[in-house]
Amino acid sequence: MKIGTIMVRVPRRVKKGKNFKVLTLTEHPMNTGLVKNSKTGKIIPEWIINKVNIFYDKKLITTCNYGIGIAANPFLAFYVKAEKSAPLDFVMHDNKGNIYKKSVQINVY
Amino acid sequence: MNKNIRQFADDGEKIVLNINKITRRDFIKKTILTTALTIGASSILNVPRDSFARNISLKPVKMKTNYVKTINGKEVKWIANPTAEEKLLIPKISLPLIAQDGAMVPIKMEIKKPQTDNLYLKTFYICDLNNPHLLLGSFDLTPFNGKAYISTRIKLMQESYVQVLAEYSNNEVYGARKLVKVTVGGC
Repeated sequence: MKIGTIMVRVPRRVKKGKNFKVLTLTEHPMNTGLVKNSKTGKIIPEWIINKVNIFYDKKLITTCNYGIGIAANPFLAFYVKAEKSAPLDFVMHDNKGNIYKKSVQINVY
Repeated sequence: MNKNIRQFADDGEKIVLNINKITRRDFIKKTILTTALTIGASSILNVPRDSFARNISLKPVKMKTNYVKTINGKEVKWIANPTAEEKLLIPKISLPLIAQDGAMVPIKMEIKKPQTDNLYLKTFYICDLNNPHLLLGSFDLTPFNGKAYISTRIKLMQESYVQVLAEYSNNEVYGARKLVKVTVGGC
């Protein structure tokens, strides 16, 4: 799979005022910069996702600041309170300056 | 009946005869061979073992058991005997007792108190004092998250206390920690 693809799982329909769970999984190596390549003997340079911003209805809900200690292919689960039908946007910033984006529509009844 | 007894007797005689066939010379030869083999094997096996032990002196790495006292200039409250109200504010951690793979240890942190506009959880911090970088990650939440809950996966090098700090909107910080044993470290 291509690096930077974000997989999101949300419920199909949510009742208004209820909290629903969001599961995400991102494809990324998350190299720490401490490990040596066994063949060449050179240190593999640091490459991690620094910051994750999550917007719901264009309002900033959560921000995650990742360090070295987060595992490869970072998994994140959190709760959101359903207010109205709106998109849920993910914006991830990389160590090298790459930006990965994903948006999911949420249906509230 | 008598025939049977005779047969048994015959067999017994044969066996006895066979044992008697081993001569004194044979016995001495065999004993010398076996002793020589055992001594040789032990000498061969023992030498590299000693050298291996000399080369690698395995010392148990000391685990740091300190508490995180301050974070961003704010004091962290470590409460030994919490009251009913404080129990709602202290974060609840769920971690495996023994992590098979240190490269991917699942961690969940939760607070039972619901997020309201007056008092809500601002940030979760995950700390590990045995790691070269103490702060593994931080998660900022708002009242738009109805429930203060985060689950991720972290990397651990060795057996250590994983500490979770919860900072509230009134600038109070509560801490909780849990011991994890790691079979294979991943870094």
